[in-house]
Amino acid sequence: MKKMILLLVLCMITCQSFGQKYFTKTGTLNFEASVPAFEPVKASHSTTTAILDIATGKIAVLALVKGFRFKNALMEEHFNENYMDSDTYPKATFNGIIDGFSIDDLDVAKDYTVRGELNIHGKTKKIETTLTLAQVDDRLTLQTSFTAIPADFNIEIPGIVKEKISDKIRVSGNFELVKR
Amino acid sequence: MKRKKQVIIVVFLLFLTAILGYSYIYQEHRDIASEDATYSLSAKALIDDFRIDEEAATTKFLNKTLQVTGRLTQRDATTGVLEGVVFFALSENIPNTTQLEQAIIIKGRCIGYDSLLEEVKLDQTSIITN
Repeated sequence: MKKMILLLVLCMITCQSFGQKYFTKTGTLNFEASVPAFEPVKASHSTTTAILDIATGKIAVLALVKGFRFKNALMEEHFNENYMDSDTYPKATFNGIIDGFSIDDLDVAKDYTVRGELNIHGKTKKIETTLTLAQVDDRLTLQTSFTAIPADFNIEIPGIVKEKISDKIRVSGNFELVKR
Repeated sequence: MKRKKQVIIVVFLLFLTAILGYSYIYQEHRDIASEDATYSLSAKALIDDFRIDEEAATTKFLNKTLQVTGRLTQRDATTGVLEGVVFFALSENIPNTTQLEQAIIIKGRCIGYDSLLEEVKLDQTSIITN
């Protein structure tokens, strides 16, 4: 009988932690490649998907490139057609793992290192950055920022606009995940 | 006299170029709500196209204005889901009169297929009928 209960408890524990996921469909991603004195080059994405497996610390993020909105319509068109080729490469993704992640440590905001592969414009690059995670009620908030270099993803910036677009793109993300 | 005329023409041309240039650089965004839908279909038909051949469906639907019908299965302030498979985002709040389980018609721009959640995503959506 004791064994049975133990087995049952064990099973319950594993079932609970195994494959439990937090996710969002409305994460925010911003990027900016502005150069002082020129028109700001920045865009925002408000329907980014992110899934975090709390048992393994694995995280997957997906932004549909067409969803990046610019203030300037022509800039948005050029971004899609000339730089990101979003008809051919409609997705930008990140697949990674959060170092030493444990959901039990999140009563206060905590910084983690995340390593993984960033795929933009059909090119994949390994990156490492910092995530700030916190648990607020039944939600997990996740914030990050990092720098991406267009050349790493085969994105060529033509000479004529080179001085107006920074060669370092600052990317920031803000996600509020709920239990799936 | 002849010289004066030339000056006037040159000034006029410069003025015209400036106006054309300005309206090109600062052109308006697409107004999805006022566009006619390129395709009009059910949420099920739309997701099936993507499940059968994601690449072909992406070519067909990406960046197009779609009118989609289906049951509202999920909603929050500014986003909703039809039949559990078509996610849409509005630029404003979803009206309170639009309720879960209602069959509704929406119009929005397809931004692609979310392969993580297996959903089609639309943005700049407006609700046509409740």
